[in-house]
Amino acid sequence: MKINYAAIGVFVLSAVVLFSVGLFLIGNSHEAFSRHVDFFTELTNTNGISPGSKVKVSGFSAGQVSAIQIPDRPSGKFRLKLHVDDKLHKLVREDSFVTVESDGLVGDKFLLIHDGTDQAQQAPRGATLRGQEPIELSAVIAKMTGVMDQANVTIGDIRTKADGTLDAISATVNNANGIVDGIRSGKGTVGMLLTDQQTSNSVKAAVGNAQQATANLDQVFVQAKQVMTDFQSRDLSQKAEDTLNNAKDASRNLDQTSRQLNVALNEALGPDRAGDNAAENIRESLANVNLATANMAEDTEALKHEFFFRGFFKKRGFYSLQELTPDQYRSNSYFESQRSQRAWLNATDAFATDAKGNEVLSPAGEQQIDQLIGTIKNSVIDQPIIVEGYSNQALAADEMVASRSRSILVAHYLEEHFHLSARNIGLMPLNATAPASSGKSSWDGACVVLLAKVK
Amino acid sequence: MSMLRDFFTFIGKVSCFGVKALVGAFQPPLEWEFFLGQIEEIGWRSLPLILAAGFALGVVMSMHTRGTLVQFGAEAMIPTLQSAAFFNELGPLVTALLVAGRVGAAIGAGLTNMRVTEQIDAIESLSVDSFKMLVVTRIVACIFVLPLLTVFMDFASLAGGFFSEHATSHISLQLYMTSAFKTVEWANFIPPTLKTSVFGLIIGTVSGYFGYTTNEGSQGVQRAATNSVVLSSLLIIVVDVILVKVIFFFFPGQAI
Repeated sequence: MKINYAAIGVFVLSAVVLFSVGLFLIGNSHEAFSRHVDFFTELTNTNGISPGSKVKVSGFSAGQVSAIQIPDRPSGKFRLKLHVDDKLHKLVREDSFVTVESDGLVGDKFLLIHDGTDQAQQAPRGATLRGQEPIELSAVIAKMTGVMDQANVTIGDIRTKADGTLDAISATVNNANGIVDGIRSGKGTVGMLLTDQQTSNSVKAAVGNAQQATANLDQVFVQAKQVMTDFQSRDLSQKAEDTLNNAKDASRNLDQTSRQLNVALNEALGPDRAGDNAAENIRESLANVNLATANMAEDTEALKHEFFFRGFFKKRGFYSLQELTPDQYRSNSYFESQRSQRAWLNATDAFATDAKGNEVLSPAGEQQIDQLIGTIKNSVIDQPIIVEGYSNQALAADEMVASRSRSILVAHYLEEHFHLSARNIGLMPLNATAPASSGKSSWDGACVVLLAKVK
Repeated sequence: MSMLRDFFTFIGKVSCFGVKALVGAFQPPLEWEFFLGQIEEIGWRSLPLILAAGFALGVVMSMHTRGTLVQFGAEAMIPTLQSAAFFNELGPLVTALLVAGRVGAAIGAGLTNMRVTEQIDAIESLSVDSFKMLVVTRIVACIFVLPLLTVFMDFASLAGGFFSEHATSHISLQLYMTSAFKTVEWANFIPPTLKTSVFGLIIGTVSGYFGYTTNEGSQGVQRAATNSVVLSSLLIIVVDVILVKVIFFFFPGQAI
């Protein structure tokens, strides 16, 4: 019989190796070959923990319960020896504590060492860690029973209060019942309404009137309906609609036009490059023009008095009728020596008072002026005219105002009626005193003086 | 009554046969050549059967447990359950039954054939102890080989379980092995493995008894082979109950 020794060797060696591997794998899972450190903890109730139960440090599998020392008296505690992997020794501090936990709802019980604080010292070998008793189900039930008792008492209180409330509601209902009874028996306004015949008749009459009014209203509605039907049958609604459409078109056109106008105005009045709008520009321009004309007036005024020009004015006798003052007029020899044509307007005839109490030129006065102008006919166009205003009122201020007012009235009439230039008409309020050359010492009214023309 | 007496007589004869074999194992000279030959025959030649059966059983077991554990959301328990089942019971029992089927029949038929063909008588005529050479070596080989085959069966089943789980859930080998050995303790591995030596003793003794004592021609060979397998298997299962209880007695932590 030939024996295959190699096969036997392979078979036996493989089996031994596998067996050893099994041993080591099991041993590793239970830290059988690692260094261990022992701790102790004390519990009143082991809660199913037995030797061999797992010990975890912060949830990490760390070892097992190696022994349980049974207390020698009922008040004593079970002393459990915890065989913990030395690698996790750093996490176990002096303030670490041990609790009994359950691995899932139906899992094994194990001891959990809660890691301590960083400040606490590392728990020395053989240290007794504080054991925290698990919450007993019976304690929870006892507490629940207490809570339920309290709830029972509270419900009793609520019921008592609810009874009182129900009584109050009942009383209120009874009161309401009494009120209804009173109404039924005719007490109060409502009761009277129900029981008194006269009141009932009045109400009936009121209701009848209301019915009549409703019938009338109904009739009105019928008529209105007929009108509407008529309106519709004549196709007036279509016409009205056409008219409305035309009006709409017209308004649309108007709107469009106004928009265009608005745009144009905006463009015209809009701000220029400098940001100023049209009104500001115009105002500014006018101010400039005003300043320029003022300057120019001064310049021309100055020119009048210059050597080369003043001869003309001296020959004419005056520089400007507008700037002629009463004193200059009285003292100027030119005006004194003029044998001018005059038309004296009497205040009582030539002037009248209108409805508002203002003095106006009367038709007689106008006619008198017309006669004067009629004597010179067309030559009046460039005829220099002085309108003298007179007034002989008591107060000097009144005299001045009235004389100026009369001269202005006459001057306006001349400008408007004969379209004469204001440049050729001079206003001369002379109060009551006439110039010596006029042949009158005083006058009340006005005098139109036609000056001699410059040759 | 006579059947009962025959039964007890049979029990007594088998027991004496076994004790005699055990005693003979410790009495020199030991037939090393025949012993190693039986190791090869029983162990090495049974290895393919054990590995294939273990792997297949591992796959099947994993598939079945998955279907159930998934309903409870406990798929993570599959490796744990697999290792617990095979290390504690399935590995030793299935190995013993397979060896009983293969080796028990071979021993029973082989020895009966040698008896019928007067080979045993020839050995005896050479002043060689045929019992020690043919029976003791087989029984001791069974006792020695069964634990080794059980270890192969355990790891083959784990490999089959991992294969199945990896195909289903792509679990890593490391996680599978960690989960498998998380709850297994030495008491779950060593006593169940070593108890198969008792199964080996049963297989060797029963089949050796039937083979060594039967002398009835070809029909005797058939009956010896059948009886060896049937009785060995029955005794293995019955004795397993006692052995589990014995293990719980010595390792109370394993009793659930």
